[in-house]
Amino acid sequence: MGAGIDSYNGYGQRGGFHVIEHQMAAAVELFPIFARAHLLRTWGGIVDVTLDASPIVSPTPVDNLFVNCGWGTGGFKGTPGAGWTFAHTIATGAAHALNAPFALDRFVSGALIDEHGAAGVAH
Amino acid sequence: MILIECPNCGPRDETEYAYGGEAHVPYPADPAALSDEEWGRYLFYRQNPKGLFAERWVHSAGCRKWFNVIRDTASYRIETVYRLTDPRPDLTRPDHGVNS
Repeated sequence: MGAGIDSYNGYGQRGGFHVIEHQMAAAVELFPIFARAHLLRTWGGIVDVTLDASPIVSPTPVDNLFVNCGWGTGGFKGTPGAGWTFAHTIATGAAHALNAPFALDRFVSGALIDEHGAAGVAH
Repeated sequence: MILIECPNCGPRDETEYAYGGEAHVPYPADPAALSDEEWGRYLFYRQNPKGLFAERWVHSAGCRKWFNVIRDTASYRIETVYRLTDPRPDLTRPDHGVNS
């Protein structure tokens, strides 16, 4: 089960208790038996979140420097596609049609992907 | 859970507040004169220090007033809280966080 992110910048790698409580309340409401579950593992880390809540898979102004980041709002499901298009980007030096909209320069052009309020993921 | 001291209402739980990101990002004096790069930098580019950071919070569930906080982004310790009309406090640690 994955909880939400803190609203503020942080390197503490610990979740806010109210965020954890919110997550557990939802889980127990859906599956009351989860209230009796034993905790095996927890993880609190740093997630990289962009200002349009979408990843950056892109060349950069620096030659041979490419970025694949900003997946903090739920990236692992996109990894196969991201890896494939990122490999294309590195091999050819230019973005594939599928990751072209996820370029770094969208923060200059204004062609953002999903604004926070419109994104189909939990924030 | 961070305990934040609202300048108007006193110490309250973090859940009463909403976060406003980096403080002291001035609106451009002449926005129409900016290039797309400069406008994008104003809109989207922010400091993200590990350490002291000047940031805005609003007491949504209280007085609904905005104010500034200097907080350590690693320990979450709040160094000071001040009103928007106050100058940024000098914490004599100029190497951390807050940009010019």
